[in-house]
Amino acid sequence: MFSKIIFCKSKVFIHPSSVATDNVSGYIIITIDPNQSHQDALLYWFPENSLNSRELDWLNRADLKYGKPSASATSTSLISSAESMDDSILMDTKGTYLSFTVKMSSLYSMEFRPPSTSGWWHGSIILHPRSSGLETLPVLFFHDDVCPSTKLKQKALQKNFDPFSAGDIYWGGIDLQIVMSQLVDLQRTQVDPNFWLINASLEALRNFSNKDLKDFRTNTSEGYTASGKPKDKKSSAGFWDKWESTKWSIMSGIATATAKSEEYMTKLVNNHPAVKFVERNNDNPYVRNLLKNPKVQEIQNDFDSARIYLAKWSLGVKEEANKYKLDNQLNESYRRMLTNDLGFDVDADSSFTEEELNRVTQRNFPLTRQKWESFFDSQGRLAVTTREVKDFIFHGGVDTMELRQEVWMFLLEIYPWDSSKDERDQIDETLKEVYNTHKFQWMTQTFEDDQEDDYWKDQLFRIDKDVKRNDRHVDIYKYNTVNGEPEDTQPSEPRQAFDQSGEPNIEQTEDNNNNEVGDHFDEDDDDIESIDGHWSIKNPHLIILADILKTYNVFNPNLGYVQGMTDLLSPIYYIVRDEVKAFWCFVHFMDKMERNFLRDQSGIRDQMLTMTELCQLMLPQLSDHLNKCDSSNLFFCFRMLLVWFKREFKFEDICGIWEIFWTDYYSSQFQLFFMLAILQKNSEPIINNLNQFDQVIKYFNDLHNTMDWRDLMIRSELLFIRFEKLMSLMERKEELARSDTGPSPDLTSGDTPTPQLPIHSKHLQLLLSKKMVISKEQTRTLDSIR
Amino acid sequence: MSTRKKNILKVIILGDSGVGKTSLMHRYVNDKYSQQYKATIGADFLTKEVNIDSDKVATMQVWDTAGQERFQSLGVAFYRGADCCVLVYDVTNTKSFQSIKSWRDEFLVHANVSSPETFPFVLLGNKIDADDSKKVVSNKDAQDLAASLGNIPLFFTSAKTAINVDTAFQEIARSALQQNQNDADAFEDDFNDAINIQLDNDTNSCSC
Repeated sequence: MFSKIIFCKSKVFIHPSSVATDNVSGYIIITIDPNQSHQDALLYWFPENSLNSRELDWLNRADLKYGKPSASATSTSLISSAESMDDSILMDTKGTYLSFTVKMSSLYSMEFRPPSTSGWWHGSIILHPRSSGLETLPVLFFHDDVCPSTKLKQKALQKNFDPFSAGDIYWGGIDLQIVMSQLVDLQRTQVDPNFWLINASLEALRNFSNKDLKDFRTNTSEGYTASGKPKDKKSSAGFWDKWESTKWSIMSGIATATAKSEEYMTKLVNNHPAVKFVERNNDNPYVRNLLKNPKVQEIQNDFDSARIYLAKWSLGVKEEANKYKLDNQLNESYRRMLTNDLGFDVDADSSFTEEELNRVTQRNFPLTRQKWESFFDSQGRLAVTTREVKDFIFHGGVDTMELRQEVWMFLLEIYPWDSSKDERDQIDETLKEVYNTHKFQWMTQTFEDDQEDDYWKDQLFRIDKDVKRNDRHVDIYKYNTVNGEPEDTQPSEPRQAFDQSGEPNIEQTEDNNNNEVGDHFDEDDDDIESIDGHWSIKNPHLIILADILKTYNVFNPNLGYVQGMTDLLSPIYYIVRDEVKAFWCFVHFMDKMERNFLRDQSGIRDQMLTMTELCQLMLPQLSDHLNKCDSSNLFFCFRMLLVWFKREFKFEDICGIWEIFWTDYYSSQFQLFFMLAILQKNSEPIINNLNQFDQVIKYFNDLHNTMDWRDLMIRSELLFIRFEKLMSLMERKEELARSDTGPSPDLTSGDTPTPQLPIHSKHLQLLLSKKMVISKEQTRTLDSIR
Repeated sequence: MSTRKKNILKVIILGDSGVGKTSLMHRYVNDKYSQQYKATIGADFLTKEVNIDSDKVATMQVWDTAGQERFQSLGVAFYRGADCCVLVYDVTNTKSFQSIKSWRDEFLVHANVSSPETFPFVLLGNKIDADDSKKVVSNKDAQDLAASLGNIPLFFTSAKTAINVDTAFQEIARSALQQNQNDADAFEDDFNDAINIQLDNDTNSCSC
């Protein structure tokens, strides 16, 4: 046993009956085995009375130390500050009355029910194990008024009281929630703000509805009573037990309703069958007698104070509720707009289903670190399907820049999805060796042949030239100094790989394309080099970019350096921040992108032809108009397609866009649907205002930093879904037509030309494939140096 | 579409990557300079009102292009209708100077100009502000090249320090306007020819 304690909270009670003296005080602790996944962390509850005074002392100290984690703690900082658990405590409590242990990964969901502000009831939590076979767990009540760590934190919070912060009310359960959220993926459900799902599948997250909640509660209400009592058939409290559990749903309903109106809220409370029952039978002596029961009193008090309670609670949840309502309303009108914009005047066969719209528009479940870790088993092998992982990435993206560092290694297939941790370590070793061999090759090569020598020198010149002028607004590339820092800053100043927000530190005035470029660069700066470009690169990150490109040049000697490749490498290196790994990520990205850079331009031409056909099929009006503008060749898409929109979006947005493309979730050429979405979104202004080739080019060249990529991604997905439907619809129609005209029409009437149906286009057919389209450059000859 | 835009002068800037095409365009149009222009991908243009010989006003459309040769094959659409082509090399880079001739040929092949012999080119040797030690293309060589290309005008410029940029573009504008008017006249002739043919046909059909 090497478990370490990372959380401890004292004065957590179970209430076996409604009599206060029956309450059992205890501790919640969470321990972790440093050699195992966070998912395997254990949560214990055990009663105080099972422990001796030494153990109690130990735990009370632990409560103060681990009972109030800071909200900004990360799972790593949690672990590093952890200390070894006094094992005797765990041994002593094993098997004692009511104590229990659950593994984090075995939990399905949790309820965090905040206390009433008026103090009528304690805050409580309910743990719902994943497998119904597990024994049901009692409700745990947090007696905040007697818990030292909670009281300390409350005091601290009151000192820094901010009347305008409308967050959740603080109580002991919040501390547990903070720690849990660092260990597992904890997601609040929309239907009940107190109900949280643990490591939920995307399916569950998307579809968890009021009905699910109700089903869940009725199914599990058999297992536990809301008061935490072991089931007691004798008690007449059947109704009341149910009542108390429904009370919570009413309360949550009310919380949501507060955004509506007070009147509505009151109506909601008064109309509830349980409230009506009490009111109707108020003069019934039996009921009145029943109401004298302390438990019933408690519930009544709940309602007497309901309005005060609600008024106060609503302060805290109003924002939440408002946001929820707003989200939903927005969602509704957004959906209507999308359906109008993209559904066109189509027959039912190819319109969007409710389910499709749900899936596409719900993009609020990013891949968090906790979620990512929950995907892997103890050997670091993926335990879910790649489809599920990609679903998360496609529909929610990767949560932070830091997590991308790991995820991109899989997305770019450096690591096989089914590899184990050991295998990946092995791969790292091999890749390092191979990289160094290639790097050594160009660093030491000499040429007999003058022309080869010229070629290589020209390649070096081109690479340096572009590295010097690429993404220089990004923090790490900005200063041409040996440490990459501005020369006047203190060298001792610590610098993190990523700043606090996890976003790259990029000049606000970024505008990397046009008139205003570089106005924020002080021309007097020491790092501003003379125009002739004859300055040497000192910034370590720029040196690495150039080295990677040079190594790639000998690794793939036929292609040569082509402008745009630096654009592709720079975000990868920014994220991966390791020369060897960035090189291999770049190699795999280039497998996909090499077709864009071919000497004869056939690959990019193919994509532009595909775009033209796709546009004809999906946006016929725009397609007609572009023809009139002499722009049917879609030349204005060239830059966007060549470097995957790198020049049109902010640096951090590009990371979000590319990782979605890399999933090949629908199509290996999803970038074309993104392009189509840009065309679709802009088609109205284009049709209404532009009528010349140059106007169209100018319009698209100036789009950078004006587009909302998330909206475009939603449109892209809907466009793909519609495209897929249209294609299969046409196929079905053609099959029908074939069977109508007899068994073998091509034999009888060989002269009927095949109609120009899009399903016959090999370009469009290829869009339905998830298989990577690869075109390699021809062998380089001496005169193909371009 | 062949709609004539007589009042727009279309100028194309060509040359190897990194010679300063984008910088020259921005210096001329916006009088600005930055180190941070990324490598141009595709093509872009800026427009500027110009006074020529103090009595004519026109709108000049300056097209900036990618220097990477392989991108040219796709982007030739915007060569069409050009009134002047600016060839740029870097005085500190011999290779860029050697490429000038092929840039001109490339342009003539794709632009489909009416009379290649008289089409106006202007040659610019950029980065003249660089240290003399860095300059590798002699003025003599540049003058010889300009002469061999049909005595085209030659300017030594610096987009960074704005040396000669306005002067060069004044000349570019003048050549472009001249070319534009020649073309317009030729177009006028074509148009008349077309009418004549039409009339011929009519007479033929009448005599039937």
